[in-house]
Amino acid sequence: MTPGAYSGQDRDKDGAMQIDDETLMALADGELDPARADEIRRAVAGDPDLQARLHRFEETRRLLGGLRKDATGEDPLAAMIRAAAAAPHPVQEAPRPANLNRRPWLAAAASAAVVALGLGWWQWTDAPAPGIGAAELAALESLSSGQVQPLEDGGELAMIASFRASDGRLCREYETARDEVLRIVLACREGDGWQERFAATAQQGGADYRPASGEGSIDAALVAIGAADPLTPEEEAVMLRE
Amino acid sequence: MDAGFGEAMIALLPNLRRYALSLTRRGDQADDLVQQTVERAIANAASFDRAQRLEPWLFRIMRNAFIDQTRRQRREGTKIDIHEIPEALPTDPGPGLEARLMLQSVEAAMAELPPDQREILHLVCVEEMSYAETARILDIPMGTVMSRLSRARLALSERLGIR
Repeated sequence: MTPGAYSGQDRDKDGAMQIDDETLMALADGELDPARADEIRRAVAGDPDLQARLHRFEETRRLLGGLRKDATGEDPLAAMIRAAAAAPHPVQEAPRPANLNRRPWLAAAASAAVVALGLGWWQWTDAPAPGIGAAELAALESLSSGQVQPLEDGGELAMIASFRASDGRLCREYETARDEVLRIVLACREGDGWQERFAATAQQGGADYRPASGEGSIDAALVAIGAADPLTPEEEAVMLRE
Repeated sequence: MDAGFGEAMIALLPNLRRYALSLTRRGDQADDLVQQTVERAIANAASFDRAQRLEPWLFRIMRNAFIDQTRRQRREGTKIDIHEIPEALPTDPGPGLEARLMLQSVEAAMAELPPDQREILHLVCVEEMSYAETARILDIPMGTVMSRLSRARLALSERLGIR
């Protein structure tokens, strides 16, 4: 939207201008085009109520601007960026652990060894998927991403994220931890139930950690269902209600 | 990636660190997030449209990296008291005591807001992104930016006693 395209204004039957909060905020933020800003300023000038409402937006903006601190000294990453810029060839993604963006998970699963990777795809069938217990099914239906809930057998389930598959169905990624075994699952809604589309397990306690990568990785599974970015909490809530 | 692009990115590192801290609210995670963002930006420099501003492009990369990271976080809670994060508090001795106290109240009030409101306040009012840029960074419609931001501003002003 171009500045000023937002109207947010109406006139009541006496002809007095009604100005909504979003318009006042846009004025405080310099998002209105000059003509529109002048018009609103004139209306505000003669109306103490509008002045008070505008003040809240101006003041919050001013105070938050105070959080914009100036940095002191050069950032430690500056040298790395300069080195990359000076590289004679177009920079390719530097060799790095396949799980670079898995670092927090890696930390959580520190010293876990993947003993079984998994392992592929469950076929699309009407049979209930192996491995999805009642508590997991309940979590799939209602647990928001980022939340953890206990399982009936003493384990724990962490809901990781929700996705919309290319065919529109809801798919959810979660992890369970039971007796030192981490299980990573991608399940998609199928009719009234859920189908496992991917599962991998990792045994904790090994000396090394090998990330799930290549054919059998969760990333490949997400690509295969055509998932885009994870749903926002709002989108997820809407899809869970459907 | 050329030197100009690199220097432009270096100049924005403080902004990236601020945004990362606002997203993660933890110094160590914020550092990781900035590093990941920079690595991704370097790897994808060729896809950056030079006609666009660099800042929103980097913020968007950071936000997507943050979502990836969040997906992987298990038990580590998100409820961190703002006063446990020294990096989140203004530490420079510049402003006077009163101003510093005000900044602390603003930080504390921000910390009480829902994450989506905190994020949009940070992008628009701290990082000075336009509404249109914010819509692109967050991947939401402009109307949603305005309604969410307006609610967040009013909630913040309530908490700070601004009438």
